[in-house]
Amino acid sequence: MTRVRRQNDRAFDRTVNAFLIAVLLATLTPLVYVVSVSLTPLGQTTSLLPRAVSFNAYEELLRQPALIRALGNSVFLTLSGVLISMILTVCTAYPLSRPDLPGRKFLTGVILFTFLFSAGLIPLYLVIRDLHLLNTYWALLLHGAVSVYNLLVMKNFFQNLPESLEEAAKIDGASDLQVLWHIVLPLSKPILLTIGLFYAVTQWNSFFEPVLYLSDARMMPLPVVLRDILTGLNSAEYIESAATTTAPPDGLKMAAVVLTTIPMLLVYPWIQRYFTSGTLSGGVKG
Amino acid sequence: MTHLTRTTARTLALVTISALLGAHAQKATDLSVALYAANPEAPAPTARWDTGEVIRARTGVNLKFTMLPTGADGDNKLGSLAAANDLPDLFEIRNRNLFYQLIRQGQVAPVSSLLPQMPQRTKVRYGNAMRNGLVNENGQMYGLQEPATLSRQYGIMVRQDWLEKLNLKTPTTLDEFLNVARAFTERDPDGNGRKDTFGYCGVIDFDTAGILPGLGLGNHFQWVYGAYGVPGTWNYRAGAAFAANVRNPNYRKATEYVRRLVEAKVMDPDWATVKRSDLRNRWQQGKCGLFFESVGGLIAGFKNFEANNPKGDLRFVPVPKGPSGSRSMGTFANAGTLLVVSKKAMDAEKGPAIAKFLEWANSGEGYYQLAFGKKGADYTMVGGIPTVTTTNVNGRLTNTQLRFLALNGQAAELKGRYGTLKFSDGRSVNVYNLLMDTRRNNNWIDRSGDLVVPAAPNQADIDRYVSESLVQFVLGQRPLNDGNWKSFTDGLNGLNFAGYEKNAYAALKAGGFVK
Repeated sequence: MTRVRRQNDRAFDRTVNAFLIAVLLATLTPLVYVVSVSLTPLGQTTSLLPRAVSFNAYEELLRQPALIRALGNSVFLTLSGVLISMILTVCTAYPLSRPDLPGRKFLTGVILFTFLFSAGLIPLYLVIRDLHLLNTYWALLLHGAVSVYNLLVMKNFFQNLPESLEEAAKIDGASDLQVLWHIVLPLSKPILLTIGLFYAVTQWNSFFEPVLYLSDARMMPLPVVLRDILTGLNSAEYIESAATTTAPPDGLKMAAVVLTTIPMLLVYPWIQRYFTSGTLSGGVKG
Repeated sequence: MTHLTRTTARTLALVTISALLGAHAQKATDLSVALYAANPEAPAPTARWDTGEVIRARTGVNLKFTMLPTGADGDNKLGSLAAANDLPDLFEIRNRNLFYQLIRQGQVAPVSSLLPQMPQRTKVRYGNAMRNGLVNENGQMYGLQEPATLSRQYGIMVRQDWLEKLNLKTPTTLDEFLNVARAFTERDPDGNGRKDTFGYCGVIDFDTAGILPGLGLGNHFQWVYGAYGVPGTWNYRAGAAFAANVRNPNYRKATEYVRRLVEAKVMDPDWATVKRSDLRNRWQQGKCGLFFESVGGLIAGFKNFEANNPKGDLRFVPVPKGPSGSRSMGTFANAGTLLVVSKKAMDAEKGPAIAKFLEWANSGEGYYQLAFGKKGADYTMVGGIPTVTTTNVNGRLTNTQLRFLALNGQAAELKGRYGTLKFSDGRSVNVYNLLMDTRRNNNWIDRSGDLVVPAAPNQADIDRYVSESLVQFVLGQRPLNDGNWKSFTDGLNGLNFAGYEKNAYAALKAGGFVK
């Protein structure tokens, strides 16, 4: 009986593994193709694996001063955006997670209301304008600095932490801030990294907000500048930069995709081990 | 001593007042200008932008330039700015529906008062009553409608080296076209021993600069409808004869011809789903014998094409004739950039500054600075033709981000922009001549009036219905027979197509485009 079950388990495992490998290949193939096209030299037909390798497309793109500046803008916006968002989210989520906060339900309701009923584009624009934040990075950093979804996930995570730890710290004379800094935050690495990643991805991919709130093209982040470059390459008119390039147009596009994706790809492995526990534990109400 | 002091004091006061008055007189007018970037792939102007400095020195305008993103994002941005009463002083609109919406909302100002303040520009660009009719509303002129500076630059290109290799003649009729396309597909014109070439490469593409979009299969197939006398959306006949071309029996015949191309397998099997960039990739890789392309696309891709096809030779072919002798590559509007002045700017009395700036951009130094960049650095004059000399492409493109305010489409300008392509083996192609060829030989039909036709409330549904139905017919997913065609045209009634036609006729008649 046990041997039969073991064989069944093995067969099941093999099936699952085969399925996962198929999914992996299906997912990986387009990514490999993107990299392959980006490395294909001028005058070569594209294929899943490049027959010859050329880095001309990357050289061309990295030679574009606009792209380098945009990359710097995006890095700055992402880092500072995550910092601001995390400070505000933690400082809101922690008090809301404490049962003894007066008016906790009312405050949570008010915050939830903004999640359910968005003000819309124009009122938001008017607020940004009246605060004189147009054409400044503050418009991008403060707009949506706190995501209600992320806030609620973090609040639930804090609620699940054992109350006894906090009580013990309080008995030792710790203030609320000290409890937060020395007890709660060190125990909350998974949720902090997970929510930080959510904020980072949102800020990194931000496209329409910069288009709307910024008028100085030198301040634009990477997605906007990349779109401009790609629009130019696909234009019907005479594209002088395309005419003088040493890389095929599709190679340039795919190289742009790779350059945009790399920073986020580099971040994932570092926090992968926290990711699952962060999302799951925050999503369960204790 | 006292007398001297008084005199000195008076003198000093006079000097101070004069200086203040002088400073006031020389104070630059801030002007916010938003245009769709002429060169989106190039960097935005920097703080010490050469062109900006020259504009300030010559016109007293302190230019604050914003590059609008192309497509719906640009429209959304302008829409949001309008809702916040925050439109730029002078800006470009590409979406006509948004233009009429802003007029109704009172966000844009009539511009007739500016015309006498810029006499040369008005004479060259705004003297055509029909074109000005495109921006009139309630008897007022609400926009500065520039003439088209670059239209009809598309055509059907052929691999001349393949024609010669297979001993074929340039096709002049639809039947000959199909025969040549079939030979390009089946007779291994590239000699690689594989059947990997296509007779005709075209995709469903409505966004081709200089050609009116129209209903149906897009502009890469308008020449087929032109061969049956039904290119574009409207027939422009008067009275009861006015209707959309889709109702014409010849429209079905043209669709049947595209079906024949598909049945003969002379087109790329995924033509209905791929994009223009894929098409460009394919002809550059030497996969296409005949294909739809612009002179700009040729310039942008010729280097990659040559690397793949060192002996390749590309020419435009004249648009093929249909059974009754009709021929047309498509329809176009003789209208280019549409400039609009916000009411806010007019109320702030910025009209004279706008007119001065635009007049400066029209000719002489201003024209060359905006259209070609810095003289001596970006270009030089060779035999009266502005010729690009710099190798700093990005710098020049940045300097000419405002070139749509200056370009006029005249011969010297086009010769400067569209020079000669040189192949490694010594051959050369004069692109200006190619442009003139495709303009002259393809019987393009002026349908500028299409721009005043109001979009139907369900325009997207109409566009999608017609386009998807035609794709189904030509792909054979829906047999192209009497019953199905009737069902297709009857389906238009459910979309209130008759109402759309009625409004189109009224607008075209009011604009003087139909009698």
